[in-house]
Amino acid sequence: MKEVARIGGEAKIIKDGNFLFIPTAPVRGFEKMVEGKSPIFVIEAVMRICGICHAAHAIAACEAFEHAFGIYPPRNGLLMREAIGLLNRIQSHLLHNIMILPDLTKNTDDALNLTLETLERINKIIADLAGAPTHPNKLVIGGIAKDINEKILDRNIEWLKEAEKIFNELREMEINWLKKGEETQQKYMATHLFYGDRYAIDLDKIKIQPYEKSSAMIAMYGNDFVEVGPRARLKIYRNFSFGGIYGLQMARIEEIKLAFLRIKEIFEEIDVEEPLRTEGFFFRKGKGIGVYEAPRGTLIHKVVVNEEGRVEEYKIIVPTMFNIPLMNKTGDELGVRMYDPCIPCATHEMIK
Amino acid sequence: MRITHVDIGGCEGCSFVLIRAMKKLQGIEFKSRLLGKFEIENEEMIIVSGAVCLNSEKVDVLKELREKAKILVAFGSCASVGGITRYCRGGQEPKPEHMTFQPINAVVDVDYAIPGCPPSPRMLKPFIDSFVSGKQSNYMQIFKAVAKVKKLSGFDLIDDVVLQNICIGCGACILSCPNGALQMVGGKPDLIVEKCIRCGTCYVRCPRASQILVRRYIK
Repeated sequence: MKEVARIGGEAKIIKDGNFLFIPTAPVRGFEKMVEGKSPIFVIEAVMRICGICHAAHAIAACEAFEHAFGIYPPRNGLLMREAIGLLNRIQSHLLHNIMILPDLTKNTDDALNLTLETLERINKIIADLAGAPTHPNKLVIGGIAKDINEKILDRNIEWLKEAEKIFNELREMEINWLKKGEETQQKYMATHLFYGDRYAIDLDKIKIQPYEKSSAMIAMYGNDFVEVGPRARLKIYRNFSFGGIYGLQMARIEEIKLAFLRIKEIFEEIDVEEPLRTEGFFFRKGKGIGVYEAPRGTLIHKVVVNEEGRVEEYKIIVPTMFNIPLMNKTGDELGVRMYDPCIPCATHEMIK
Repeated sequence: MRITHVDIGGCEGCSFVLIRAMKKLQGIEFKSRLLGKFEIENEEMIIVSGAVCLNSEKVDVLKELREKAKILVAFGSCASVGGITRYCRGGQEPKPEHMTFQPINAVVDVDYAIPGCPPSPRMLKPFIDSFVSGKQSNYMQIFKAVAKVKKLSGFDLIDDVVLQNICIGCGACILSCPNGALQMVGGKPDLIVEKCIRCGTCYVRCPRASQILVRRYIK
């Protein structure tokens, strides 16, 4: 057993004949934690599953409850939610960049500074639009709990331009370090390029099974192990091609570039005269599913709400569960790290 | 000064706050598993994030950290006062036995505790500075006092300050809450109970409550 450094969370590697990646962090048990609770609490709680992809969990949970209640955020709310989700995607890819840099180059100083400088600006935007850079509290069922005006939008557009400029410098530097290899033959799964779509995949085909003696479980789609995440999204929606293990990092860099484009587009599309949140709804009995493309791939939240409007059942399927079998196939620590496993997330799923 | 960070099962939000903050501090050698492998030796300061799961081997890990640390700091609400892990109840696959999560001072003595979900990097700078340059921050005594308590939340703020009628209505608690769980009603703070994640930030930021802490545990 060997501890893996530079990944989000705690895990070990076993190299006893087979190469196995084993998450070892304690299971805080968020699905059990939210049973019997109010949906308002659930959004705040599930966000704290992960300090890296917090907004992704909040969005998936909001989508699940909206599905259960039969409501839909206004156009502005959906747009802003998409923008905040993409900002979180950039944030997460940049945090991963901090951890992966020593694998890419000997002298990491310049790239690390550029990463942190971009990150500071992205954090500032998330804080301004969504309440906080980590665990943003303005993401709520029915939209975004914040009023917006031209002034707020304008300053964020400026910060975004600054961030993009610094990131481009980082990108130019980093793409030279990525070595192209053989194209890997494997299956990919994604539901959307930017947001998430519960109808893009057949949810009944997802199978969950226990995995070794780890604190995580693994997921399959049908009878296949599928890769989810940046490379899967770009393969499915953008004809992306960059063979070898470094393809994952190239995909991340491309995704940040695309996210900047899309966020700028969203900021232009938002109409400041229109509301960002549904006005008036009540909690009711129902079942809902939220599917969202988190930074690491397809994230699924399922909820059953009782007649009191409280949670009867909650299930979460996270991207790292799909990716663990593929990480094992790479056979080395670099391979694992390239997949950017998220252990705080991976230790929170239940057997169906 | 060498500062070592260990996460014992949190969400990693605090870990990245530390990385962002440490890069900006001068004269600090910062070690974290997120930045690379390292061995824990006898350390000047160990910063722990995440609550301790009493049903896991983390209890022993924590005791060992205490032995090796001259100064042990609980960073973030989970490590300091439990935070969201105060709602954990166990029973979840694949480790249903992981039932009890506690702030780290339930297992070992803690020197300083900095609550927040996550604490802002701005909170950390004066704290570290006070060790490097000896310049004392006003918060040091409060952090020392929080290290002695095992729970702090919006409920405690309402009980100890608002209901005792010593609230001055300044609104610091409302501004500090990371969840928007406090609102002003009739000039006094009111708790939106389903939003409180028991992170303790409001209690520490309240000019009255923080003095209650210092008087009770320090003076």
